[in-house]
Amino acid sequence: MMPDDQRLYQVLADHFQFSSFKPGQKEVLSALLAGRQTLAMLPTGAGKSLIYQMMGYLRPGTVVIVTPLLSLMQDQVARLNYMGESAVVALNSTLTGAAKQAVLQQLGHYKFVFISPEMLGQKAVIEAFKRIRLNLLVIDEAHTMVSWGPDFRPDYLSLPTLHQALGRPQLLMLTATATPTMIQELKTAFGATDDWYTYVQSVDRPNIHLHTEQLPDHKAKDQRLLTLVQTLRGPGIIYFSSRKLATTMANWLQTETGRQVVAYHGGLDQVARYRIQQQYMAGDIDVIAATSAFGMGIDKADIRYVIHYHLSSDIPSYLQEIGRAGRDGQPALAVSLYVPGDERLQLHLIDQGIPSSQTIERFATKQGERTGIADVQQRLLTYYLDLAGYSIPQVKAFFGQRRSQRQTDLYQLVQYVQANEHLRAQLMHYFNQSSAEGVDVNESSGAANLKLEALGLVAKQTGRHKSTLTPWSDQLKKLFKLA
Amino acid sequence: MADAHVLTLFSATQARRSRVLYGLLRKQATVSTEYWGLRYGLLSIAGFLPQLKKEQFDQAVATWQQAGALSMVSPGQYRLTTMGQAKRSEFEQVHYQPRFFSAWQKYQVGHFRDVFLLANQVLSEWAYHNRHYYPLQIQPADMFAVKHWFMQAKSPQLIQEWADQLAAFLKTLAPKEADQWIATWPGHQIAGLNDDQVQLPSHYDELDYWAWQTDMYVSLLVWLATTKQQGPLTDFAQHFAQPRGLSSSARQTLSAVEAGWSLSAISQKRGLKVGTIREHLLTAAIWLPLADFPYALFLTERIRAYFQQRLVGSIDEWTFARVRQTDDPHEFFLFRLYEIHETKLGGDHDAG
Repeated sequence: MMPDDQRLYQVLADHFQFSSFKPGQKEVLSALLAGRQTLAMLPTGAGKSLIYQMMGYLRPGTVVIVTPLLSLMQDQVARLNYMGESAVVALNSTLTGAAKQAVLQQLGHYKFVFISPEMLGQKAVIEAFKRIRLNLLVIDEAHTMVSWGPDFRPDYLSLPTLHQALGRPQLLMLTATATPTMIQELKTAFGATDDWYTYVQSVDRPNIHLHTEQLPDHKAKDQRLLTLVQTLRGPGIIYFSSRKLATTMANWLQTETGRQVVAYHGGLDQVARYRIQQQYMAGDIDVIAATSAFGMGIDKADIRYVIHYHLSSDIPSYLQEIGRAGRDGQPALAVSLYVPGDERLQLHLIDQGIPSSQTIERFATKQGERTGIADVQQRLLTYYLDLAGYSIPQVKAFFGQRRSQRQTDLYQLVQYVQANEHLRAQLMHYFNQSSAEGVDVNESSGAANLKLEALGLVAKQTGRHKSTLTPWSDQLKKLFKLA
Repeated sequence: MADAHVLTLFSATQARRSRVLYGLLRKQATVSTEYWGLRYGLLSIAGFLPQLKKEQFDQAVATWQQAGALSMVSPGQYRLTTMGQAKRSEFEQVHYQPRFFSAWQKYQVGHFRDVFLLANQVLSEWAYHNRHYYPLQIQPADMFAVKHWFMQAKSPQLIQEWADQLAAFLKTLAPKEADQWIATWPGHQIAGLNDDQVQLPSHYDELDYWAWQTDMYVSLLVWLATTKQQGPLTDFAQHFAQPRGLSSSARQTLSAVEAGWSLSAISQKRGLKVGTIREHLLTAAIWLPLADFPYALFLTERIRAYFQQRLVGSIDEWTFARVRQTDDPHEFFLFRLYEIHETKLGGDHDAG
C-alpha cells in the first residue's frame, strides 16, 4: 500500500485534477485517515466539500453528509454529477414516498448520501443506514447545532443521539463560523472524551474590502444601492430579509440600471433555481437579489461584491454571506447599508422564532389551541417538552436565555454596521482572533471614503438591454448542434 | 391566490360550492369533491395550489360577494352576478387564457415537464459529446428513469429525429410563442430562461406563467397523441406522460374488475373495505374517458331504465333520495356512477 501522503495526491489528481491542497485540507484528511474524530473550521471558499469528497475515494463505504438547506444539497449533488460521479443522492423532503423507498433499498450503492437532519431522524432511515457500511458521517454547517438562526432546526439537536444509534461512526464536523466556545460545545455534544482533532483557520478574508455606510432613511438607502449597482463591477449579490422585497428590488434595479438583476429565494421551484444558478455561473446575470437561501453551496469564484441591504442575524452569518465574494483571491467588496432601526426586522424574526413564556404555557397545558402557534415554534416546543422531556420552567428559562443571546449576537453585528473604524478587528474579535495583516487594513466607512478606482472595482460597462429571443429554429440548431 | 383568479372558478349558470373549489385546488380531494370537479368542468385545476390556505380562499370569496360579484344561492354555494361576469371577462382579457384546459386533466404535467427538460438537456450535451455538466436536479427516481431511457434510446439518428419532431411541433405554434417556449429549455451551454425572462406580458403573475407552461406541455402531448407521428419523442411521451387522478391502487382495482373479479373478491384478496373498492372505481370513472371505464358491468339495462325514469332535469339537481330503495351502500355507488356516465355522455359540463 502506498503511503498516505502519496495516495492523497494521487486521488486529488485523479478525481479533482488538482496538484496541491488548499490550507487545512491535507491536515484534516490525514486526521481522518488516522481514524480521529475531527472538527474543522475553514473559511467559506476554502474547499470544505473537497475533504469529504476525497474521503469517498480514499475509503470504501458510504459518506453520509448531514446538510441543513435543500438548495445546498442539490447543488452538492449536481457538482458531484458534474465531476462524473453518479453514485450520489440527496435524501430529503422533496422525494416522493416511492423514490425514497427506492433510494433506501439501494443505499449501499451510493458513495455519497446527502441528507437532511429531519430525514436522518426517521426510524426506517436509521435502520437502512445501520445495514450498510458507513465511511464517514459528515455534519456540514455544524455551527447550526449550537447557534440559533431563524432557520434553526430542532432536529439538529438530535444528531448526537443519531450518531449513537448508528454505532458511533467516525465524524467530521465542518463549519466556517464558530467561536471557541461553540467548538467546545460541539465536541462535548458528541463525546468529550473522544480523541478529537480540531483544525481552526483564521476567519479573515484579507482580499475582501470591508465597508460600512449609515444612511438617514430608506429612500437614501435605495438611492445609494442604485448608485452602487450602477457603478460597481459585478457579478454581485445583494442580501434582503424578505422574498417580496428581493423580488421588487430586483425588478426596480433592473429597470433603473439596465443590468440583469434577478431575485433568488426559497419560494422558487427547483427548475427555476437551476436556471438562475446556471445563468449566474455563466455570467448572464449581473446581480442576484437574494434571501439567505441563496449561495450556501454556490461556488462562483469571481463574485466581486456583496451588499447587505438588510442585516444578517449575527456576525457569523454575515461573514458567511460576504465570504461568497472574492473566492478567486482578487479584490472584492463587502458593503453594509444601514438605516437606524434596521435591526427591528431581525428582532422581529427572533421573536417569531423563539416562543414566549405565554406561548410555552399555552402549548404545554394544551388549554389553548395549538393552531395559533407558528410552525417553527411548535417544532421547537414539541422537541423540548414532548421529546426531550424538559419541564416548563426549564424550557422558559432556556428560551429566555436563548432570546437574549440572539439579541446580544444581533447587537454585536449592529455595532459593526454602525462603526466607522476597526471593522476587520471587530469581526475577528468575535472569534477571538486577530488579523494577520495587522489592524484596519483594506476597510473604509462612508460613501466618500469608498475608493472603487483604487480597488479596481469600477464597472467598465454600463447596463445592457435585454437581448431579444433567438428564433426557435436557430435555438433548436444550437441545442442539438445541427447544421 | 390573486383575488381575481378566484372569479374564474365560478359560473353564471351553475351554482358552485366554494368548499369543492378549495378542495380541488388543494387536491384534498374526496370522491365527492372530484365528482363536483367533474360537474363544474374543473378537474383540470386539481392540485393547482397545494399551499393554498383555507382562510385565504374564503376571504377572497367573501370579498367578491361583498363587492357584488358573487351571489350566494345557498350557504357555501355561489353564482357569478352580471357584475361578476363583467369582472371575470375583464380579468380574462389581461391574463393568460389556457387553450388546452380540458386536456390538462389527462396528464401529470409537472412531472412530464421535469423529465422532458432533463432528457432534452442530456441529448443536447450528448450532441456536443460533453459529459461534464450540471444535470437539472429533479426527483432522483426520475433522473434515473431518464438515464435509463437514454441508454435504451441511444442511436445514431436519435438527435436528428428528436429535433425533427420538436421542429414539427414548434412549427404549429405562433413563432413568438415557439421562441419563448424553447428559450426556457436548458442545454449545452444554455442555462435556459425563467418564465419572467421570456418577454411574456409584464403584468402576468405566477399563475399566468404556470398556466402558460402547462398549456405548452399539454399542447405538445396532445399533438403527439393526435398526429400519431412515429419517433423518439412520441416514445418518450408514451413512456413518461403519466395520466392524472388515479392512484396505483385504484388502477389495480380497475384491472381486477375488468378481469371479471367481483367487488367482494377484490376486497378479500387485497384486504381493503368494499367501500374503498367502490371509491377506487368512482375515481377511475371520473378521471377516465367514457370508453375507458366498464360502465356496462354495473349499470345494467334494468338499472339504467330505473334511473332514467326517476332522474330528470339538470344532473346538478338530482338527489339520491329519489332512487334509493334500501340501506345498501351499493345503491349510492350506482347512482353516482350513473351521474358520472350521464355527465360524460353529455360532454363535460362547460366551465363557463
